[in-house]
Amino acid sequence: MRLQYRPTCPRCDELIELLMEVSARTGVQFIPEMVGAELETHAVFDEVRKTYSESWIKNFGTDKQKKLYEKAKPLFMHLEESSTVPVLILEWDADGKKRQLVIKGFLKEGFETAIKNLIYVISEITKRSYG
Amino acid sequence: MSVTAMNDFFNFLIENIINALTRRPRKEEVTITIESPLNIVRSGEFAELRGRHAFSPKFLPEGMKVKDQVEGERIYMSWRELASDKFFEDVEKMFEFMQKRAKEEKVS
Repeated sequence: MRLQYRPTCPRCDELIELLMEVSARTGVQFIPEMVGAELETHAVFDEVRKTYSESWIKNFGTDKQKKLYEKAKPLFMHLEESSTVPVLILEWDADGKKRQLVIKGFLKEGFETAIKNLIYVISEITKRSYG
Repeated sequence: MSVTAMNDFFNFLIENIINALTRRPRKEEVTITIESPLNIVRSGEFAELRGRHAFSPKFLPEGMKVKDQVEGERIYMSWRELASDKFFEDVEKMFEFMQKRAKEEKVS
């Protein structure tokens, strides 16, 4: 379990605390990873950023996304340059292949159900990959 | 050898040693492409220095090395979807979809 965060994002701090608790309960390793190239000598970007690009939407986007992209192209171009945080990444191995579940954003409303669902997913993943 | 020549030589030697010891990572973009099948390529001399922890070889799965290619799948989801009541159904669908894919790949 990885969380991509920026140091200037207050929502990320809240989520980090919650995920620390989840990690302690489930025993799944939690790694906070700082993104954004401002303070680093090397460039690290979040994994959601590129999903706003034209090529990604054309290749992997849904029909709804494709329609939206045609309507609001300048907005998507702006989004492509900005970085999205927090991004939660669940990573596991299944039949020798890497599977990832990328969850973008964080809302305080209804976070209890979200955390419950997250613990459910983690338990399902561990059950399916080891059981 | 004169004293000044010796001094110059040692200065040159020490400078080289310091440069070698304190080499800085070059600015490189992480090359992660793309979702289905996911293809992670870790390349570059300083690949292990990228990111805080995620690209550290310590955290790579067993049998994997820097510069290896790994295939897989990536699914995107928003926090709102995670917090919804329908999420359990979605997760079941997701796992079914992944199992189907795995079977298809094995057959082909």
